Amino acid sequence: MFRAILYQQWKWTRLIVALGTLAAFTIPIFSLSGSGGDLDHKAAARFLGHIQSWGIFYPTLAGTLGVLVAIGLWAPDHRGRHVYSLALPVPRWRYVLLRYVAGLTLLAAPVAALVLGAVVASAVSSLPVGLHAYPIGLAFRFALALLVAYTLFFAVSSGTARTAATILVTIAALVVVQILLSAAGSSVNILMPIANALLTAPGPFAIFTGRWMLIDV
Amino acid sequence: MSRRIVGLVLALCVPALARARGQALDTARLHHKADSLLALWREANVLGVVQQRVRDVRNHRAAQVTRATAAVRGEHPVQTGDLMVIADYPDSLPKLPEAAARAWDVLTTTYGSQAAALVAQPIRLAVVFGNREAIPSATSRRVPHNVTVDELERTLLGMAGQPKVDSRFSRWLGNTVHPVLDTAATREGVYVQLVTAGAAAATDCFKGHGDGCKAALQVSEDSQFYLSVYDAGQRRGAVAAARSPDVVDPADHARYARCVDDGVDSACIDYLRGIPLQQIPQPLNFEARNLLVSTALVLGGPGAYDRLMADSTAPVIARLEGTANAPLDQIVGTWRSKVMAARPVAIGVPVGEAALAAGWVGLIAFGAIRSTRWRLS
Repeated sequence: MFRAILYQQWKWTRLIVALGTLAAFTIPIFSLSGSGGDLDHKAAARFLGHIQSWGIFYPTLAGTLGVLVAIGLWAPDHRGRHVYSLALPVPRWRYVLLRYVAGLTLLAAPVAALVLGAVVASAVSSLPVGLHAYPIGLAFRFALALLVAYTLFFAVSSGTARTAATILVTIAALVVVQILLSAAGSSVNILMPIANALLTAPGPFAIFTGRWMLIDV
Repeated sequence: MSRRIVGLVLALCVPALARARGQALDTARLHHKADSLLALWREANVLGVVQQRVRDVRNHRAAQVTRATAAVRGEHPVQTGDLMVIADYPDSLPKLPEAAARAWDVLTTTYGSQAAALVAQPIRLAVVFGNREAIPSATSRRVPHNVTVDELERTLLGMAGQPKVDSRFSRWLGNTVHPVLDTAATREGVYVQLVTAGAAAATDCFKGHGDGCKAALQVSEDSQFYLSVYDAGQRRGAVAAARSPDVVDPADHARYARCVDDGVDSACIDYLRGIPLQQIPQPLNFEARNLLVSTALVLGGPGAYDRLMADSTAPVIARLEGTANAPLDQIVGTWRSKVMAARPVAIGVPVGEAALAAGWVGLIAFGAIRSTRWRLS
């Protein structure tokens, strides 16, 4: 049954996964495009700045890929009003688990591509004294961020459309309240504490913050 | 005939002699003026010194009175060594004694016997509460009631200040001697500087050559350090960093262009010779040098700061060696080994962060899987 679900999910999300895999492979290579054999010590500071500016693409890719795959896995169920899944002779928890694990299996491809791209880029680049490549560390952080984004949006998508709508409306309401407060001249900021709680430890998205550096000291 | 000649000579000589006598008088008058100006300057200088002494004595007496009466007036002063801290709501700062003890320890470790002079005046703090208006005061520093010990320690050290240093040492160091508070962070910062300094000497230092460290730290006070610290390409970069093309003097434009555009090293050296020393980019900044001074002070133990400041005319190398009671190679070697040991932890995901992410994933996934109803909208 797992193979059937995996194949089905592959058909639904193959374009997203393929594009994500391609991006994961090429981002490390492009980020190191400035480092050739002539890169010497004097360019180290500028080079680190260049690498840092590329660092934004890794969490963005992890988040985007996790969200799109998670939504893509449940979209056909919502469209078919869950008739297919109800017809299956398995309890719901098993069905959800199979979907979740199958999605994870598909997402292994971008992670592997990132490892490969980062290792290849690090191997062919010439680094100044004192700088080191961290392909595995970067890939591990990417995998964790991808896992968090995928799991969270998988959970949201596995519910009803009403659940997703409730979450979206809550977020929109918070933004509207903040705008109204600002317009009224109030200095109260309700969004910032929420963002801080989500993005800093022990928030769920803490893994997205931090240094996403393929090359560092 | 001869009488005529003598007469003519006399007629020519008399005005010349008169002119020479007048010049001699002018010179004497100017000498006299200069001497009287010098005497005036000396008197003014003595007056200034006396005024300063009187001010110091007055401040010292005021400080003594404040110290002596603080407890009597119920100000609950916190005293550690010579450091006295008076807070308007001392009970609201339970960590104040600890912060004061730490600050005094840092001051005595860094400045030795000169620490007492820095804290002659008691330090006053005004505690700020969220719901209460603080009473403004020119002599006190406002601190929030929930301030941490570290912040409080830094506040106290900031208010104590640093002793003045002579101009020669200050020119090399780039500032006064500062206590190194966050040693690990400072060493990390210097490590990153060594990697990214863009100077051949710093690279050599990173690779383990002591001479490279000495050159990068410029302990020899060489006014042409750019010849030994940078290679040709780096000198070109230093010129470009020191002056943008828009602000180059028109007379220097050709030399600047030969250096920056054509990469002619002799033009770069010529150009750097014409720039004031402090405007030439340094390979390592004040933080690195201050860490070297701190290393020498720690090696030197008691009286180290007094030895550092004992002879303001001595070269920096001799003063550092005197401070540490050790040769420069040992001081720089200790400095380097501590910096190299402080290599920043790079990209790796900390175990706690990974565990946290895994925990969130497990929790959310469990919630999604355990939902038992087929919820249809």
